[in-house]
Amino acid sequence: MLALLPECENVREAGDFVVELKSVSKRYGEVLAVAKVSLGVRRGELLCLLGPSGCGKTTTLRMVAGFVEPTSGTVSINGADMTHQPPYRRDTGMVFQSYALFPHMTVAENIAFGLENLKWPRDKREARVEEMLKLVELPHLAHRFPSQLSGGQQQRIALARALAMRPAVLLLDEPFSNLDALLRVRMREELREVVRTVNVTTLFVTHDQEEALTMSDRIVVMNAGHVEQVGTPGDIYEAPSTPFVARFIGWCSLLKGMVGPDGAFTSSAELRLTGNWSAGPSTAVIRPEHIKLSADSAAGSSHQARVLHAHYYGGATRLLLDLNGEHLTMQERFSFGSQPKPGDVVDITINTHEIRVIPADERP
Amino acid sequence: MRSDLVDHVMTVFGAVVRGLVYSMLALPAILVVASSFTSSDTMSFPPTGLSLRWYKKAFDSEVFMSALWTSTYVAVLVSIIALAIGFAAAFAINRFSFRGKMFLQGLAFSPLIVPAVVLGIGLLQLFAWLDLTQTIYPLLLGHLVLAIPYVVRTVLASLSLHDQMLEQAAMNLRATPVQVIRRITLPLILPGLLSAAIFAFVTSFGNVTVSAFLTYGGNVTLPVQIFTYVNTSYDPVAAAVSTLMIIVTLAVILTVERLIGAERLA
Amino acid sequence: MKQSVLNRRNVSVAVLLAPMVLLLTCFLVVPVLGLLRSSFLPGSEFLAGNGFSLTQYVRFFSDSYYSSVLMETFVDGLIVSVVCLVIGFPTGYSLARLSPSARRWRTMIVILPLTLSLVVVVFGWLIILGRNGLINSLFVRIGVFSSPKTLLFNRVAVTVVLVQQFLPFMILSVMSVVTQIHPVLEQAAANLRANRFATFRRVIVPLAMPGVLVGFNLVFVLSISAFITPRLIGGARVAMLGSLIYERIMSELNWPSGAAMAFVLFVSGLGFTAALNALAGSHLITKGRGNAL
Repeated sequence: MLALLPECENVREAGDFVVELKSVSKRYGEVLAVAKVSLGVRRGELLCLLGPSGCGKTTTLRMVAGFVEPTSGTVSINGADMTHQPPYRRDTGMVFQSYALFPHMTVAENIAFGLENLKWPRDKREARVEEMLKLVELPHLAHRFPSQLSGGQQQRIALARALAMRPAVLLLDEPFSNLDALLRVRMREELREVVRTVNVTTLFVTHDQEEALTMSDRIVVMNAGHVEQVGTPGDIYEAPSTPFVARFIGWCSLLKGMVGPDGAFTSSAELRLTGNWSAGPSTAVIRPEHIKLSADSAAGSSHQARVLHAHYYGGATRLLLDLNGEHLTMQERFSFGSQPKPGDVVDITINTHEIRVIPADERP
Repeated sequence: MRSDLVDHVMTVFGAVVRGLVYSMLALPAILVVASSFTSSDTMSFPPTGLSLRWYKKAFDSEVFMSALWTSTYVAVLVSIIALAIGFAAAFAINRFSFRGKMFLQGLAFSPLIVPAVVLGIGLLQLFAWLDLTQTIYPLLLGHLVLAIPYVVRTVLASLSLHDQMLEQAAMNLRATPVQVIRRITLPLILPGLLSAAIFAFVTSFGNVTVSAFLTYGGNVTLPVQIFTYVNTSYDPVAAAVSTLMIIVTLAVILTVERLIGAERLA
Repeated sequence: MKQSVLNRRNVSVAVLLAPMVLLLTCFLVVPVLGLLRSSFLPGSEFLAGNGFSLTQYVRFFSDSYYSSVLMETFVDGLIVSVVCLVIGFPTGYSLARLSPSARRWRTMIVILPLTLSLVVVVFGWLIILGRNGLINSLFVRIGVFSSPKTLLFNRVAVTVVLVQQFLPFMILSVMSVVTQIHPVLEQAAANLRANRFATFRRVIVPLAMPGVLVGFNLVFVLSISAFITPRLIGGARVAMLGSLIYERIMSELNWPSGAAMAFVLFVSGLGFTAALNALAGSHLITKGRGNAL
């Protein structure tokens, strides 16, 4: 029984995509905005599309909602082909970047709008509106107009409006980009809470890696129209599969070089890191936390590096180091006054067990 | 030192010019209204005495009153028809991409570049050829042509001002295209639509440059009637009738100002 | 599936556009083409006339009276446009920079002559300039004139009235373009030690050029085709092409001749627009740059 479980789970997962994109492309004239993207959103998960602006993540989301028709490929929701269905025949609830609350309707009317179109009877509608307002903790605002709400309130109403219809999938298009930094963090937690409470499958678009890392069950990193990597936040951060992913998520230094037959990595500037990687041209990803100051300069795995810049960040200081002509970034907390200055030489240890070496990109 | 002087000169010049411009723009209308209350038999300024006799004469005048009726009748019809035609066209131009879009937009605005005399004579000739000069159609169709650019421009502006995201949001909330237009688009652009209709109304109601060629037979509009009247005689009844036109126009401007803001009138 | 959706879309676009296209084709394009046709009729008859000749145009351009009227109409149009520019620019500029509440009543004053019927405006000018009008009674009272003078029926009066009529077009064109020039650009110029004139000349004027050209062009084309104002303010003494055409059609009923003159007018207007656009080519590039901000 126990031995069978993993297999069962795989079968369940494969057949249980709420949203599935198969080889979806979108071409605008000469520009390929989305190139053969295939991905599935599993039931109940929060999947995040993450990438820089112009990477095609919003276009992908809009193809799910039905506002953009794919040039090729299929989009299905709950197993049914929706590729050429208009938006109003799709079981999605979307929160727009600008919220798109109807300015001529009250909050309650906004939330009830979708239910009216679904032909819910009046009493059920009213009960549902009340329920949704309670969910987002704004029951007292039912009769206000959107222009009388703060940004955070508008965002919550937009969420309530999208969820009221009990959509198969909730779509969020950069929902926090119009909020200030503090509110953004709070709304992020609130949204996660609400999504957990109603247990809705969610597809979420953002360019903010912190947002993606803290909120998602899985992340799809996109770049220039295609998928770079799919994985849990841990996978994406700890085991980036391309240099792009490594650079886009968190701080890191990328060293180009070669893994020899002995499994050791030698950078183009002759910096050697011992390990057991597969041979061939590769890129080493060294994050600040992989580098420590070594107390003992005689230790075998330590290197001497020269400080190029030191940036004080309050809690810690970020050092840009020169090591045999390679530039590395590390982060360390120094006691007051002991901070190194540019030109100083420091002894560092690189934790080679944690760093990742990615075989050179073979994609054309 | 020198640049201080330049700044000063520019400030003074600007203030003088603006004062001159605003009084020059307002003066004719103000004087028409003021002299319509004169009690003397001839036009003179300042008016002598105060009376409403010229208003009485205007209301008693068969020609002026039938011209007022014709003008109102034509203007109301024009505003309704021009709104329907112009809204449909503006909606297509704003919401769909198709070949020849630039050309159609140019066509919609082309009545603005054809001089009124050219359009007037052209229409006169066309309707003479069709033997329809004695009917209301020349005025109606001529004014419709004149009103189209204003309607299309106003509707286009309000369509493009309002956020298309709202329509997408409505569709995401399961509203069909017809429901989207009825419940989202129309309510939101209503002020724009009303303004467009009012534009069509004033365009038709005040027009004289095209109407002057199209008023054969019994269908004379009020501005054309004033034109012919002023051409031959010079008495204050024309001032009284003109004041009526000023009142209508002012009411219209104020309404549109309320609806969409006066800047967008132009 | 996809094909039928596309077709339905094309059908709805066609249905939405058809009424406008039909209206403008039948009652704008056809009349103008019909007018062009009858301008090539040899006689003075339109309905009964036939044949094809350049008689009307030859007659127009060989008669020195017509060429002088044409010339005067053009010169008048240019004067009106330039005056409108000189006094309309500061007004339009200040309107654009005013607060919305201060702008409100001023905009209404600017818009009133536009929406008000032209005859009413002209009638107002008759009251100002008439023998017993405002200026005469004022100037006689303060002793500038010893007796009332004839201020109407001359070219200056016509020019002044045309300026007042078409000034709003210039003001509004300038205003709409200046609204798009961010005030921070002027602050930047001032910070770079430009005085107001230098800011005006090197920053505002180049960026406002497109609006200025639109206004200038509009005023010129409207002025040369005016006929109500020349007739009422200028009377028989001031001949402008527009009033000549009106005369020819409505009094003399010589349509082919009137049609030819109307076409000369139309083509001159289009020619002026084209020439202005060609001259302004370089300035319109500046506009693109300005909008980037």
